[in-house]
Amino acid sequence: MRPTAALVGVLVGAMPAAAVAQVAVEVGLGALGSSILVRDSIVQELTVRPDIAPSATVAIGALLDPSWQLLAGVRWTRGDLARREGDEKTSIMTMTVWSGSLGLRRQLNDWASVQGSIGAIKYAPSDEAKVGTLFQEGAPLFAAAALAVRAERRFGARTAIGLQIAYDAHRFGTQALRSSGVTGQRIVHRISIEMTFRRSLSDARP
Amino acid sequence: MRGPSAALLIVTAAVQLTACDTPGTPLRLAPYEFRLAGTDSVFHWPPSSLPVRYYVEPVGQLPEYVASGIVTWQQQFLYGEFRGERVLDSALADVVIQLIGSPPPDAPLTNDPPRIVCEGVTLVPPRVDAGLAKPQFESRLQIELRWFSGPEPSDIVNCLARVTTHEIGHSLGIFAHSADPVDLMFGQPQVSTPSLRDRATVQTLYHVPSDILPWSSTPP
Repeated sequence: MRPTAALVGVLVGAMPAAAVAQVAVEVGLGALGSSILVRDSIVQELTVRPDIAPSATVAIGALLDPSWQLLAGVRWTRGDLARREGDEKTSIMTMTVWSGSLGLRRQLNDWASVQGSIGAIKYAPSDEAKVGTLFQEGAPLFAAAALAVRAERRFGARTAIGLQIAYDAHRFGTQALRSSGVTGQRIVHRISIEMTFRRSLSDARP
Repeated sequence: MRGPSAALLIVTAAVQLTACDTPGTPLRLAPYEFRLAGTDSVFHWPPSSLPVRYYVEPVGQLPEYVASGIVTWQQQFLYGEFRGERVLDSALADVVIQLIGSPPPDAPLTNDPPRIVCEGVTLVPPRVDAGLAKPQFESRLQIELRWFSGPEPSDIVNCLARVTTHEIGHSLGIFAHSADPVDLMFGQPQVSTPSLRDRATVQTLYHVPSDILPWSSTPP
């Protein structure tokens, strides 16, 4: 099944319930680490990897039933993209990465939940910075899949503060790499940890 | 569709998205010689010197040829090894480019066959021991261009644009010539853009240790 078909399936299936659901708004702030984007060898082996970077997430959730919640979110990170070669580390550029996702959260008990989502990731180097880099012939949108676990503490009927650990994965490759003879795409793994703040728009438990 | 079935869809999509497809390291052509002639010395701009600042006399279309040459060479890299920019003050420059003689004719670039109606030279300064970890260039790199009178204006500007890009290649640290006329760094360049071998050479150059430090306007 193609990812877009899966996404449409989730959306259509959830619509009738979401229409009557309570809605909550969430924000998260934390840090995100990524595995390497590129491994190459010029004289000696080198790798390209984003440094651990600050991340911010905004999401909207709609309750489908007492246990399930539909979520749509956007995450932003901005940090150094670095080349590592032997013992040397050199910054290539500062880069923003956007990701959008649609997923489901399952409430396990009063304080714990798990979440699965699919979406897309966009590496967004500035036009001035990308000449002479792996993004110089463009930075495509990559489909992504994510999992998260969260522990929360509630404050009143509408508010909750929590800690979330999230993992996502996507394939990575660029036209500039392909033009240089790199075939195939690398699976990139990212892990984030965020403090989350959730606020329901009604008194019902989200 | 309720939660559990939607969750199954997400898992299925996730498996498809992340199915393994390990990329291979690209094969690169063998580089030609780039060391300073008569020595084994290697020079390239260290990351701390980037972007390399080029000053060019505002004569004719020369500034455009220089800007294009810088971008052309920068595009040969994948990992940010080199960046250059034009500056308007020669005192701030790492590389100074000047035209010897009268201004060239004003004509657009064409795709006409190359004619050798101009020449260029990159003056590599002597090295001095400045008490640093490595010898240092005594002064800025300097590029001189000149053209010959007589031929068609388009031949002159085509030649100047081509030779400017070639000389900028020297300023990156390719201190030798290719023996193959399909390479931009051939002694009398016949092409206006770097070949795959030029690319492999400059990429290799920037991944071997440099033996020489660039001249610096500020004392160590």
